[in-house]
Amino acid sequence: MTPTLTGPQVLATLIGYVLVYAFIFAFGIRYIYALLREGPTETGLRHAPTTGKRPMMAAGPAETATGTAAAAE
Amino acid sequence: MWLVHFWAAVIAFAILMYVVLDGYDLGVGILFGTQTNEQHRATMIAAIAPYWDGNETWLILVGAGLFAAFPMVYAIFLPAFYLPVALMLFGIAFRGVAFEFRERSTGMRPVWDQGFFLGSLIIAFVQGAATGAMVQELHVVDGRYAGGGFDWATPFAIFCGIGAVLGYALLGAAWLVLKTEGELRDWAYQRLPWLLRGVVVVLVIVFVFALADHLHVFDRWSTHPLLLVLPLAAALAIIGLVLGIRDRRDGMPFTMAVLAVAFSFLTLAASFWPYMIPYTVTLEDAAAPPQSLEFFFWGGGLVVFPVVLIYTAAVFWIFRGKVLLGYGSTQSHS
Repeated sequence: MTPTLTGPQVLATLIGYVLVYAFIFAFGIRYIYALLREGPTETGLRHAPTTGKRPMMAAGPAETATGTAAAAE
Repeated sequence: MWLVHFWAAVIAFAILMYVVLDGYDLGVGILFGTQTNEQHRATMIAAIAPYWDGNETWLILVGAGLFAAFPMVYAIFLPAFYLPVALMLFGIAFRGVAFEFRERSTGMRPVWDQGFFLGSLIIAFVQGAATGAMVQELHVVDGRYAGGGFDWATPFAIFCGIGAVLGYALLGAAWLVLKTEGELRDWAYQRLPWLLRGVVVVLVIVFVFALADHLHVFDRWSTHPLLLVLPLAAALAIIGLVLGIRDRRDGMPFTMAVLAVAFSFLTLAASFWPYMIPYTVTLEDAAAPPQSLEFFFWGGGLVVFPVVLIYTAAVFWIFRGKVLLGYGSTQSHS
């Protein structure tokens, strides 16, 4: 094992990973859920040729996809 | 053993590609934090959206290559930089999702934007600081890292971290000049000379400090004066960069900045040679057994490496020219 790596360091980074990923995935799931609720939109169809690594592009901008933007801005 | 040199060359090349490629998109991320106009921010995102994750695969190639071909380097580097590297990975996570999430959210957009900016900043800083700490030499005993978790945090290393932030921002501004037009291009042109001055000041201070501190780096230069041609070429590229800014030739600053980075990297590599962890572990010390190197050669060396090279070139060809809003841009604001 690595002699200089201490327990508290490992614990700190483990907690860090859990927090960072929990935060990111919580919002990721929320955004995907909003996407599913919205269903395909006209903007989405216009954007149809998109790439697999940018799946959210097909949904168009946030304003139309979530329907909450007007209130937030 | 030619395979040791083959893998050292592949990893050195991958590091250089990573620094140049992720350097400019991290730099755009750093500059993004200083840009308040939403339209320009969207264009900045669009200017790197097709490239950034392809660029980051070079870092994965470096990590996997070290793990496979030079496991000792991997085993020394990671414990020496355990906390900063973890911080860098958090930065990469926030930066990666920002591309998608900022478009999905209006209320949370400032959070993702800050994540994008701070993530880019931290990644650049950690890489620069790690390089500085390596130049100052890690505490290695019997092929193992024997220092503490914060040994890297010397004033010299922190200064090198600031240098990397400025250097990446310089690459980013040069990229924006290449890929954008109008107001945003003017904005990037205005920043180029300041960033260049910052980089030159850092380089001079680092050089003087290294000289005053009698770092090992200089031994090689006094015994092999012909190598001075490398930093000289870097200096010429910087002059080309200045001319490119003055004449406002959109392609020139980026080309010259890439050449300056490439020759600076070769300068650093030449000062380390034949050490991989300066100045304790050599290439031969760190290399995996010949059987492993040969095994990786057929898969990693002959297949994965060329494939990464080919798709990097393909992406740059497909998305050549100025940014056309519509790919990865927030349409709602146009």
